Amino acid sequence: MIFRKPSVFFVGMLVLAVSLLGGCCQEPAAPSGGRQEYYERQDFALSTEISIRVYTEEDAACLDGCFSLIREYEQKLSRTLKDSEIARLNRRETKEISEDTAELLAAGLRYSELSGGAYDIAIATLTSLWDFLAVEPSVPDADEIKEAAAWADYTAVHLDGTTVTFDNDITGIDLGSIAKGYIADRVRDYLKENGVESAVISLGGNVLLLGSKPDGSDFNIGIQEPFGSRSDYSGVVSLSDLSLVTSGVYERCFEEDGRRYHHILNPNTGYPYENGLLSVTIIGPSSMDCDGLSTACFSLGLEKGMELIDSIPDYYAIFITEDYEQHFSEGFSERVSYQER
Amino acid sequence: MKIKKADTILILIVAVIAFGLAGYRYATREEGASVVVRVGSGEEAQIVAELPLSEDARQEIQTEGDGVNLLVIRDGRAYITEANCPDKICVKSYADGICYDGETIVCLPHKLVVSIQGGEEAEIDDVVH
Repeated sequence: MIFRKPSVFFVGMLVLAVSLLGGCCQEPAAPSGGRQEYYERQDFALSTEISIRVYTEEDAACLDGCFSLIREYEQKLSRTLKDSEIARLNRRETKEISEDTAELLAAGLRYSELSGGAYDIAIATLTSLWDFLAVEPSVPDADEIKEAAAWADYTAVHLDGTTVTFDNDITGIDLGSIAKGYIADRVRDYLKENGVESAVISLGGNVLLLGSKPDGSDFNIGIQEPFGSRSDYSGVVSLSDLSLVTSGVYERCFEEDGRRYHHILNPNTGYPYENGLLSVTIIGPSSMDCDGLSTACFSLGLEKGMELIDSIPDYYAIFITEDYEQHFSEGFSERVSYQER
Repeated sequence: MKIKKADTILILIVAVIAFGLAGYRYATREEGASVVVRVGSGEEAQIVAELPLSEDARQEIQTEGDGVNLLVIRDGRAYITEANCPDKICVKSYADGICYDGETIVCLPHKLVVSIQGGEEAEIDDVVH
């Protein structure tokens, strides 16, 4: 046979060897342990960036539905969209809202009461005055601020089922501090209904974890250091099936005449809270409650804020004060796997 | 030397195995990381650039209106180093750049997302902020 001729045999083996080895030279070093495949969609809605990550191709078919759901809620809950339920309510064009909106408003009123008004869901007169998203944000006129603050009053709002009445014609509702959390919970419900077991939902930095990673391990979530970059972490939490929300002074803020103004407003003075806190991060089972609690606890300051979170089972907090010290709520170190950085 | 039928069959078998293996290795090769630039939201979102993370580059990205962001790839990391958006969070909050699979730089006012696809897996799944 031809292969008895040594040169032919040799050439044949060489061809085989090259085809085997050729691939090796082209491949960069593969990560050990195998890559975790994921399917992620990003988009802009709710005046922020949204991303949803799932881990199977089958689950990826749900992503369209998730974003439709988000836009539907935005239409209902936004303060600024002209025909939203909230906008029409604030203009006194209607007294009726949908059940979803009522559920969210009830939570907002509950947190307003729990915080003794330090957090106030009826803050629309103030939030419409301060425009943190403007091209050139500026501090509003002092008299206008005072006037707007006078009308920021959740006690003037009465919710009966799905009917809302006000004690006056001016007080308005702004669900902005709690809507993203609510919407995240609804997206999670939608994913679960569709059989999704592992997902990461991020609505403008509010993170909701559905399940664990496909291999059963916890997700690792960084807590951004105030005024640091997105990859500077105050710490890293390892967890599954929970939400994390941070209220902080370092986002949505601007400087004027050497002073910094952030977006967490004191409904009584009309100005941003200056209480020694840089951020409050809440970890717990409901994203809506994490959202409401993060603003409420921030508004109350370290001592009273800690009292509030300690009184709520299954929710944990990290308060970061201006000296960058981290303060943890009761039970945090036992219940939360956290690596301070 | 005469080429017999058995020889031909053997040659064909070796050739099929050799090319088959090469083809399989080619098809399953791991891609190097890419920097993907997307502008816009919803149905109007478009990928406007895709560059290899391994090659240094500078590219101006035009976004809606007069928006401009400067994308820089240097030493295996991607950055936005300049932008004419009001808050410049895309420059300041991502000053260390990005390099891991799935990491993103977002310019919200310009509806711009720079993301890394492929390459090294990150240790962190997401950041709460």
